[in-house]
Amino acid sequence: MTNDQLSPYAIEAERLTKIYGSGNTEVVAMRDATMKVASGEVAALLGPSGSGKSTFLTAVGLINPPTSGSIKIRGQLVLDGGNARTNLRSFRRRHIGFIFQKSNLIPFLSAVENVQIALKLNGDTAGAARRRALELMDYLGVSDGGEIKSAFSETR
Amino acid sequence: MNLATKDIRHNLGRFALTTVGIGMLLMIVMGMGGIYRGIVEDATLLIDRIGTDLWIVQRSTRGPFAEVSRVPPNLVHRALAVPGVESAREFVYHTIQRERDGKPIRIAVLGLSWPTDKGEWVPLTAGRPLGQAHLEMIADESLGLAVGEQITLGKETYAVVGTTSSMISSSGDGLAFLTASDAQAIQFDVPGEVVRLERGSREARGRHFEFAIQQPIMLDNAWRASSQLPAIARPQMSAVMPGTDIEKVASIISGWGDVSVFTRTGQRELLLKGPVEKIRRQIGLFRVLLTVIAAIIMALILYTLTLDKIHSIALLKLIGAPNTVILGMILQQALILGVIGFGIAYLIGQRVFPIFPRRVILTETDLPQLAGIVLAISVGSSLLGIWKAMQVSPNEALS
Repeated sequence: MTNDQLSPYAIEAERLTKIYGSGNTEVVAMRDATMKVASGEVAALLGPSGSGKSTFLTAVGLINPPTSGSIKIRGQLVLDGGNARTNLRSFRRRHIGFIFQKSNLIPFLSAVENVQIALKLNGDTAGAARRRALELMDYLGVSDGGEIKSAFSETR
Repeated sequence: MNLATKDIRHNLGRFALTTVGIGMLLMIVMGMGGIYRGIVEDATLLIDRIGTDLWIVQRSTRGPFAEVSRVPPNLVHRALAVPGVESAREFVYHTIQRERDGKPIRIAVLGLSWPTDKGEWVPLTAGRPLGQAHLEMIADESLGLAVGEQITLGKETYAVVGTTSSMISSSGDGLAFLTASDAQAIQFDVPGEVVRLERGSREARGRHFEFAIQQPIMLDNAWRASSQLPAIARPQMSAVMPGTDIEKVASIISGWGDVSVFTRTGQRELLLKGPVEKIRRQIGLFRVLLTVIAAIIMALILYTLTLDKIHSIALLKLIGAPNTVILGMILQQALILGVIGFGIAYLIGQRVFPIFPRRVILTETDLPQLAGIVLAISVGSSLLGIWKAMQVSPNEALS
C-alpha cells in the first residue's frame, strides 16, 4: 500500500516559515504558512505583491526549502523542520511539474528535445522518451514544430 | 541526446573560433616542446652519429664542441698504441660565416680523418662520400648547396659531392664535412700579408732561440703553414675495441699530462650542460609557462561558456537533472575543446614546423605526452566552470 493511497492530500504544508539573512538584515518572507491540497483539486494562491506567494510555491515545489515547517507530498514526508527527508531534486523530477509565466526552454535543444529531456532524466531510453514526447506534443497539437529550436510561443 | 554536443551545435561558429584559438595556442606549446627536443638532438647529434667510445681532447678543456681544443698530431698513434684501442681518428670542428650570393651563410665545418674516415657514416640524401683528400665536401641541405655546386672557402674552391639532411650543429648551423686538412686550411686561412709577417716574426724569434741556433734546420718550421706546426693540431677521438673496459682505457689515456678524456656519455653531458644549457632551460621554462597560460585561457573560456548557459543549467536543475548530467556536459565540452584543439595544433604544426629556422622535433613519445597534458588541462580547466554550475540555484530559472 503506497503513501498516496493512505493520504487524501496531494500536498500538505505545515507551518512553513522562510527567513532570509540574519540579525539586522533578517527578512521573514513567509511565516507559519499552512495549506493542504487534495488530489485532483485545483487551488489558486492569491495575495498582494510581497506577501510570499512565490516563496511558498518554491518551498512546496522543493526548489527553495523553507527554514522550518514540514511538507508532505502524496503522503510522503519530504521536508521536516527545513531538513530534506529525501533527494529533493530526484523527487521533484518524478512528482512535480511546473508551468512558467513565460516561455522557459533550453535554447540549444529543439522543442521536442525540451520535452524529451525530462523523460530521459527519469530513466526512459532515448527512443521511448522521443516517442512519448511526440505523443504528448501531438496531444497538445504542437507536434508540427517539434524540430524547431525553442519553438513554443508563449501563447501556446 | 548529448547536451554538450547540442550546445556546441547551437553556438557552432563561436565554438569553432574558440577551438581554432586553443589549437593555435597548443601548437605553440607543441612547437616549444619540439624546439626544446631539437636543441637537445642537434647538440648531441654528432656524438651519437659518430658513436666513438672515447674523446681525447686538450688537457683541462671541454672540447671539441663546448670549447676550442688542440692536441698534437702524433696523439693518433699514441692512442692506437693503448691496449684495447681499435682505431683512432682526428677530428676538426669549427664554425665559419661567409657570404654567398650576397647572403650570409654559416657553416659548421667538420674535418674528417682522411683516408680512414671518408664520411661513410653520414646519412646521404644525394651524391657520395668524400673521394679524395682535398677540395671535396658533403653539405647539409640546410646550407642550400646541391651536389655538383662549388663554394670558395679561404683560398680554395670546394665541390659538393654529397648532401645530407638534419645534420645540424648545436648552434643550429648546417654541417659541412671535409677532410681534416681542408678543414684546418679553412680555419687558419689568413691574408697572404699576415702569413708573411707571422713567418718573418717566427724566424726573428727563432734566431734568438738557443735551440734553433744550434740546429738551424728548426728555423724551417717558421715557414711552414700554421696547420702543419707541431703545436697546433686537432682534437682527437678514439674507438675502443668491443669487449674492452672503456673506463680502463680512459684511465690509461687520462694519465698522460697533455690530454683529458671523455666517454661518449661524458661528452653528451658536457654539451647538454654547456653550450646549450641556458637556451635549453629557457625553452623549457617557456614551455611550462605556455602550458600554464593555455590552461588559464581554457579555464576562462569554459567558465564563460558556462556563464552563457546559467539559465539552461538552472532549468535543468529545476526539472530535476542530477549534478552528474550538468557536470558531464561541461566536462565533455572541455574534452571536445581539448581534443579538437590538439588535432588542429598537430595538423597546423605539421605544415608550419618544417619552415622554422631551427629544427622542431616531435617524437613518438612527445605527442602522447602532450596529449596527456592537454587532457589534464581540459579536465583541470573545466573545474572552474563546474564549480560555477554547481553554485547555480534552480530558482534562477524562474526569474
